[in-house]
Amino acid sequence: MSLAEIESLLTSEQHRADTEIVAMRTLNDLEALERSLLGKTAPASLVKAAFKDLDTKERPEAGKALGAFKHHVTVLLDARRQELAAAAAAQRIAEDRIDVTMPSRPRPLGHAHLIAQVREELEDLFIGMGYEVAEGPEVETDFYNFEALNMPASHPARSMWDTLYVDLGDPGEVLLRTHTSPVQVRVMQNRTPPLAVVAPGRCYRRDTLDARHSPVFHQLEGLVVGEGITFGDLAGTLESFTRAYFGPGITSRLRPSYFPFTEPSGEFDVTCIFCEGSGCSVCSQVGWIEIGGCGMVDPNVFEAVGYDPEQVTGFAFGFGLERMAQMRFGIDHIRAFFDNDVRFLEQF
Amino acid sequence: MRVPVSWLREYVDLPDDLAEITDLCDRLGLVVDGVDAPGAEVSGVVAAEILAVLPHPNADRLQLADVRIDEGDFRVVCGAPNIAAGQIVPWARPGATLPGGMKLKKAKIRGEASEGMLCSARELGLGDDHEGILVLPAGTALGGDVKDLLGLDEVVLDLDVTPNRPDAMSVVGVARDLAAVLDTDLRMPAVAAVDTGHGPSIELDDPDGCPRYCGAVIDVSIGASPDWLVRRLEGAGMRSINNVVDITNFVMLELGQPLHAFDLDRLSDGSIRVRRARVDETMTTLDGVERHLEPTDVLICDGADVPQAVAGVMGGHDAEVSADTTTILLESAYFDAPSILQTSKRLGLRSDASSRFERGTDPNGVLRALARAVTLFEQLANGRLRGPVTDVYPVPVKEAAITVRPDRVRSILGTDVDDEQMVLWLTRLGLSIETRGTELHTLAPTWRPDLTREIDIVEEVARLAGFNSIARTVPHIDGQVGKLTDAQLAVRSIRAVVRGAGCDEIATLSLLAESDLVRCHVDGLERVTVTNPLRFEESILRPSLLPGVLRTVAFNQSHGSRNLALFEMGRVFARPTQDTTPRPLETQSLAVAMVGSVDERPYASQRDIEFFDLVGVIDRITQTLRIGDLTRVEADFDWLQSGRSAALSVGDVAIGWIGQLEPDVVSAWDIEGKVVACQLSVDALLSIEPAKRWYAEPSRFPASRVDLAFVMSADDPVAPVVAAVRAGSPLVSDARLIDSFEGGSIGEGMRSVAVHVVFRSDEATLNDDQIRDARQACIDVALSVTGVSFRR
Repeated sequence: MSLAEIESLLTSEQHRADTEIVAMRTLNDLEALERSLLGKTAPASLVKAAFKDLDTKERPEAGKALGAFKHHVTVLLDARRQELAAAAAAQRIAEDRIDVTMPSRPRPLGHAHLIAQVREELEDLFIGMGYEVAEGPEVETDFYNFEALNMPASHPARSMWDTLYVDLGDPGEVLLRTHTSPVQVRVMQNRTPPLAVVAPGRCYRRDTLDARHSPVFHQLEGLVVGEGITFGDLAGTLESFTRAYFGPGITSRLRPSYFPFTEPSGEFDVTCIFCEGSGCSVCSQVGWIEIGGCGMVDPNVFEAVGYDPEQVTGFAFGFGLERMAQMRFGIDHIRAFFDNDVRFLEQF
Repeated sequence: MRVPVSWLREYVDLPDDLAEITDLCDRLGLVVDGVDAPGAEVSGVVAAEILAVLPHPNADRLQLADVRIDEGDFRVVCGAPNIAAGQIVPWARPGATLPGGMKLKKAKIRGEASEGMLCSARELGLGDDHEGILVLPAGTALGGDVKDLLGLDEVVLDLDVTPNRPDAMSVVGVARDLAAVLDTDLRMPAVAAVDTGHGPSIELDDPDGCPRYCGAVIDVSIGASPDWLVRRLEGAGMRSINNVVDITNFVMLELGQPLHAFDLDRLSDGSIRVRRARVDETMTTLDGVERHLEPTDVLICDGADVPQAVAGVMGGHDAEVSADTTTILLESAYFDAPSILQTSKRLGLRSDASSRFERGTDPNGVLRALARAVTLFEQLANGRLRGPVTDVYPVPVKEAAITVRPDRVRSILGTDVDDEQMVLWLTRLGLSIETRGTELHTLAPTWRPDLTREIDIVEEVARLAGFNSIARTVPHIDGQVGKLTDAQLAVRSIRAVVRGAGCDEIATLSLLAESDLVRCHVDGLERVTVTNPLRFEESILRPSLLPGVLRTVAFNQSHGSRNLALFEMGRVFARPTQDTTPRPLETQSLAVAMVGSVDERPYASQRDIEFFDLVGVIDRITQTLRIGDLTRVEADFDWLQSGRSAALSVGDVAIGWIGQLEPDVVSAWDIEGKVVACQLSVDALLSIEPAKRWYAEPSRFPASRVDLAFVMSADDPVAPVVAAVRAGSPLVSDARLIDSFEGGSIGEGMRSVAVHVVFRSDEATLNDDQIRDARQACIDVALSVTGVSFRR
């Protein structure tokens, strides 16, 4: 092969590369073309074998032409390869594209019952103030529900509670607890002061479920006993927890009342959260909403559990969790808590 | 108790501002339930004279009244039959306002023009009397505002008196509290002295039920009460009957001592005997009802031993004061409070008298109340006391002596009120006090039976100081850190992971109806029954959480929610198994129910919730509690579909049940779809020792994995096979079922199962020989399970 023939062949191959490389549509086709242009059996590769037949003077020139051809083709191939790789990547992305606004694949989340949420929040609040959480039976004996709480048989104050009795024990002996106060007695029987507990739980009364009443409801009871516990401690504790629960704009007040198991006894109110104290229909224009009962543990209760009322004093308080939830979340009927409509449950 | 403010002002000087008075009442524990100002809205109603009454031309039941005031004459259409010319009546002229805010204007009634209206008592907010137009006294100045004439500007406090305060069931009692807190004098009503001695014959057979009985014979002239008395009674919510009855009621309201007037002429011998009722005795009370009496009831009988009153509760029909009465026997007595409570409760009769007696009246105020009534009889009923008053009081009740340590008072309250202030307040409340050293020796008045101990005095001091004036502090509890117990934390964790599995927490009533149990097929469970339910729906303490959960499923389906996953944590009740307590067994339990479909993708495939979805929820619980998987053994339960139900346990400890509900149960609740449910004893779960929390280094060596296939009977459970493989070699770090199919190439009634096994050592990379030996060991142990063969 003469130099002229070599140059002609390279020219023709280069022409082929110029037209065919840009026409390749896939990386595989481009690779095949690359092999046919630059591979061992490609015409341009055969040219190299013909170099030995050339005049030594012509060899550099032939080598230069071959180098230029290879460089030219390689540049074209790389460019086209990059184009095709970019196109492939773009296509893959297009194929993988999702509508990011589609709904989630659900990992469904359940909701705690609102009363349980309120209970836990209050428990945690009192735990933060150093209290433990105590529990007691829902079905109680007369002794714990009444007698040990300074209400001996036929005490007129028993009529403050509409009591349900069950078919166990002697008639009138076993009842559904009407309040969480029996837990006070059980805690004191089993422990020595000082102590601070809250006792949340279910209570019962002879009522029918409607918008404002329920035969089953929940209370939270608090009890603190120790040396030198004062009425001021009670008032301060109620103030601290109501503020923490309802928010800094809310304050509390106490009014004298009567419970057989506390003396002095009181009711405690908080600033009406709806009108913030200015008076509205919810609070009957008084600016306060009644929350629960409280007082200093009556010495007779201490004596019933074997504590010396000269040694220790204490306070107790109790309130309904439904009422707390109603006030905090604007729920106007107690039935909602027991209907368990999931559209209600899932709001919280 | 309804207390007119103007009545209070007769005994104590009060602030002008009503809000200040109600605040003081609240501060004293005399809860103001409401403030009633019936006439507050009334305006433009004046006294007018009826000149003539004419028939209405177009209506039989209506009349035309021409009325006159100083300004002129007007014509009014009136529907009341009692009007007559010459009467002076309240006329609401056009532009007047009546209670409720009703504004009057000129109107045509059946074709006749009416200028306003004539008013009944009720239309003016004065009691319930709607019988006819209110007729004002003759001589009333025409044109005068009836608000002034009728006392319509009265403000009445509705006080909620707590059961421990009998004294506050009287106007004077309330005034005494207010006087103490205002540090001002109480003006007691005037009482003429009466002589005691041999008056009417009174035989006291029952000094326990009636420790004191005073009786006086008084000649009276029955008639109407004066306006001021009627107004007082009506303000307090009572009706005027006649002057004699009104005076007894007035004294009761004023002093808190109920009185009873018998018609002397209708009492045999004009004498009284107080005794307990006999078995099967009856009497007819004032309301005309024949009452069956019990030997616990105290009776007031006459000389012939005929019952004339149920003591302290209600008088009898026979000796009732009537228009013909000329002489009364006036009773003022002190009855045993618990007896009165018991009788009035049993008879379902709560009267103004019984509500006072049952709290405990003042035994030493009995004679004073009688004397007060005598004074009023003299003034208002031509009353004349015939002879002395008989006072039978065998064992006088003494004032309670209470020693008060002011330091103790201060230390309980956390306040620095000084001794002098305490003495002042307590004196105003009626205590007599003698200071001895650092102690106050006090005598509490018998109208305050709630004051018997030092702590009761502490309350009085707190009340008068004001509960809110005491500095607020927070106690420090030595030696205690606030925290939950492990069990309490575990319960919270269980609830959290079940929520995390997509279940909503519910709370259902723990009281059920028998029909609820029947509908759930749980009526075979023993149960605790409520003996006095209000309704049968609340008559059984739930022996299972299932009825409440299913009720909630049904409720939500009927409100459009189809896919439901619900759980409840609460107690179930069973009869006690041991004699040491009469209380039932209360088991903290967890029930989960699921129905509907699982969305694999919200916009693609769905499948029905099934048994194993619920198992997955339970696995979360056991993993959280670190107690290993629960054992499921196929078992039948009345409420679950046979073959899709299992008993749950850990070792010997029964935990509960799981399964798909019987179709009968599901349809009984009108639930659509298949419901899977379980109930676990949380108490039992918590009784299982959890795996220790202690670090073990994860193996650094690679794992080898093999799949083993076995053939077994399609009727046999697979869990023992997997368990056998897992136990086959100590090198097994995990073994789990990865495939299970029946029939086909395996043969009818047979099942192929594949178990994926992971071998791993903590000490070295396993070599081929070790893996081969371990694999063979696993196969061998699996084959020891009856009916299992290896599938090559």
